[in-house]
Amino acid sequence: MPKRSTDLVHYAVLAVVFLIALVVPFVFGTLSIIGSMTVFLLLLSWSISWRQGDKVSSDGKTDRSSWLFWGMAGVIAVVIPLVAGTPFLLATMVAFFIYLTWNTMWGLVLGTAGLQSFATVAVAGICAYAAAYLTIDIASSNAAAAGAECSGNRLFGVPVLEWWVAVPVAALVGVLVGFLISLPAIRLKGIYFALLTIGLVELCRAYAGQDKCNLGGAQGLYGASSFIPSDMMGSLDGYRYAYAAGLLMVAVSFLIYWKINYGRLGLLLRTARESEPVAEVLGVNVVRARMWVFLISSAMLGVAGGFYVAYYKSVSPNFFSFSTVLLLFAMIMIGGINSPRGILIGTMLLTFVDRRFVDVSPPEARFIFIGLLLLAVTLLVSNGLVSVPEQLRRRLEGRGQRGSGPSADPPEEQGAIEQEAHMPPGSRPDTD
Amino acid sequence: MTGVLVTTINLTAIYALVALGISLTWAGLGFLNLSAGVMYAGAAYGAWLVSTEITTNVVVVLLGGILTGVLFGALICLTVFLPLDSKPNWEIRTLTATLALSFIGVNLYQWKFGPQFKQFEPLFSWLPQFRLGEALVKSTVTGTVIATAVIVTIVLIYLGSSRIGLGVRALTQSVEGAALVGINRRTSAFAILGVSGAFIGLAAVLLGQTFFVEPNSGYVPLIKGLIVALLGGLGSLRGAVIAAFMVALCEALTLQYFGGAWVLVTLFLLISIVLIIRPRGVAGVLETTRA
Repeated sequence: MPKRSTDLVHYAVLAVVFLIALVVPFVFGTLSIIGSMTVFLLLLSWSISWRQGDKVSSDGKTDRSSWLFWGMAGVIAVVIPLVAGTPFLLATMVAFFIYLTWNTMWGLVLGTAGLQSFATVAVAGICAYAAAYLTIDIASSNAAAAGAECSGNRLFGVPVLEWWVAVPVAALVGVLVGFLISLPAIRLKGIYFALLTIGLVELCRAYAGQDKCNLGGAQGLYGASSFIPSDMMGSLDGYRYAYAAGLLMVAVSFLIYWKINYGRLGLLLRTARESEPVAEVLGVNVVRARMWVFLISSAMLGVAGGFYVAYYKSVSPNFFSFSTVLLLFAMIMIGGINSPRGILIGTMLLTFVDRRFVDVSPPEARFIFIGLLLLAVTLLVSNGLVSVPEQLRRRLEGRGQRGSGPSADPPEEQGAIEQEAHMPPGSRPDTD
Repeated sequence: MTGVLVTTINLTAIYALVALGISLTWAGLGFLNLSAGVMYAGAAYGAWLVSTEITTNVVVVLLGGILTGVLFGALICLTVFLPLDSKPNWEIRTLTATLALSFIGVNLYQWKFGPQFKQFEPLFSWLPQFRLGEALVKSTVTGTVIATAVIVTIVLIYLGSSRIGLGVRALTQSVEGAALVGINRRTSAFAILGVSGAFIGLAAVLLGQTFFVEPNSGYVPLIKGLIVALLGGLGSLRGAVIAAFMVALCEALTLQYFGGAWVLVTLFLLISIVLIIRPRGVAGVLETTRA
C-alpha cells in the first residue's frame, strides 16, 4: 500500500522535527521553544491536510478528525514548562494564552460568521476595565485621581471586590457589550461594520484616557487583586500557577470554538456568511444566529479581559491602541482565519516573533518584519499559512489538468476541484 | 459663530480630499485603502523634505506632496491591487494587505525619521488675512481652500475629458460594463490610485500647515477620511463632500463647546446615528453593486 509507506515517512519526518524542536531551546535560549514548536505544529498541520487531501476544506467538518494535531498541541502545552520552565518563558506563555483566547473568539466572529468586526479589543478592554474597577480602590491607589477634583465616590457605592467576583462580572459585562455591538451588525454590512468597530476601539481609548476619576486617565488602573496567591507572587511557582490557569482558559475557549464552529450555530453562520438570501430562504434566523455568536464570544472575551487584569494587576488606555488591534489581526490572518489550527499557529508564531526579538535594535525592525510577513502571506496564500497544502494541491491539479499530466481522473471544472476532486489521497507520485 | 464656520470650511476641504481618495479607490477598484494613513504621512514627509532640502516655494512644495502621494498610489497598485486582483477572499485580503502596508509604513517612518515632530514652513503667509464677522480668517485657511478648489477642479476636468478619465468613470459605474467596452482595469487602476494618492498628498501638505508631521500622523486623517467616505456613501463623490461638511461641522461645534477630547465621541455618535438610519451613507449609490 503506497498510503502506508507515505504515512510512515510523514510520521518519521515529523518525529525528527519534534525531537529537534525539543532540543532547540537548549541551544538558542528557552524562548525559542515557542518558535520551534510553532514550526513543528505548522508542519504537522500541513502533513495532515496534505494527506487528507481534498476531503478537507479549511473550515469543514473533517477538520475534526485531526486529533493527532490537537493531541500534540496538548503534549506541547505540558512539555513546555517541563523542558524550559523559566519565569520569562512562562510569562510569555501566559500572554500567549490571553492572545489565543481573544483570537479564537475573534475567529468565530470574523471567520465562522464572516462579520468584519474589529471590536474584539474593545470588548476585552471594556471588560478588563470593569474587572479592574471592581477590584481597585482608585482613590487610594492612584495619586492623580485622588486629587481635589475627584470625590472618590465609587459608582453605585460598589465595594472593592476580589478577583473571583470580578472575572464573572467581566463576563457579564462582555455579554452586555456583545449585545450592544450585535445591534448595528443587523443593519450594517462588511466594511461599514468594520469601520464602526474600529471607531469603537478608538472611542474606548479616547474615553479611558480622559476619565481620570474613574478609570485613572492615561495611567490606567493598577493594583488589582490577583489570582496568584500572594506568597507565590513573582516566584516560579506563581508563574506555573498562572500558566495552568491560562491553559485552562484556552481549553475552555477552544471548547466553545469547537461547539460553535462545528455545531449547528456554526453551520447557520457559515450559510449566512456565504449567502444571506439563501440562508433566509432556508429559514435561518440570521439575526439571531449572529447575535448568539456575539453574546457567547463576548462573554469569553470578558473572561479573558478579567484574566488579564487578575494576572497583570493593571490595565491602561494602551490596551486599546491600534497596534494591539493590528498585532492580533496579523496573528489570525497569518495563521488562517477559518481554522482553529490556523489561529493557534498564527498566534504562536507572532507571540514568538514579538517577544523573542523584543530587544533587537532598531525596535521598528520587528514590526516591519511582522508587517512584511503579513503582507507576504496575504498576497501569496488565500486562507492563511495552514491552507498552503490545499492551495498547492489545487495549483498542481490545475496544472495536471491543463497539461494532461499525471492525474488520472481530472475533474471537469477548475472551480469544482475544491469540493469534488476524488483522487484517493496518497496515490499521486508527487505527494512528497 | 463665524469662527465655527471658518473652522468648518477649512476642515471640510481637507477631509473631503482624503475621503475622495478613499472613495474613488472603493468605487473604481472595490477595495478599502486602509493604507491611506501611510500615504498621507509619506506625502507629508515628502513635502517636508522638499521644503527643507530644495525650496519653500508654495507650488513646488505642494507638487512635492502630491507627487509623493501619486508614487504611493502606484506602490499600492503594485503591491495590493495587481497581485490580488480576481483572487479568492478578495475583500478581506485587500483589507489585510493595506493594513499590513500601513503597519510597515508607520514603522519605517519611525525608523527613518524618528518620533520627533517635523514642522513645515508656513506656505501661505504671503496671502492676506481678513476678518469675517468677529472671526479672523488666517492665510492658511484661505490657502487651503484655494489650493483644494484648484486641484480638485483640475482633477475633475482631467477625469471628465481624458481617455483614462473615461475609463475610470466607467469603472466606478459598472465593472462588467467597463470590461465589455474594452477598458483595461489594470491600467485604470494606476490612474485611480494615482489620483487618490494626489488627493491624499495634497491633504497632507495642507493639514501639515496646522499639525505637525510625525510617523503616526496619518492615523487620525485615515480614521476621519474613512468616516467621511462611509458617511457619504462609498463611491459617491457628492456624498463625500456633503459628509465632509457634516463631519467638519460636528468637529468644529464640539471643539467650540465641549473641547478637543470629545471630538471622537461626538463623531462616533454622529456616524452611528447616520449609519443606522441610512446603512449605505448619505448618498450611497453602490447599494446593489458592491459590498
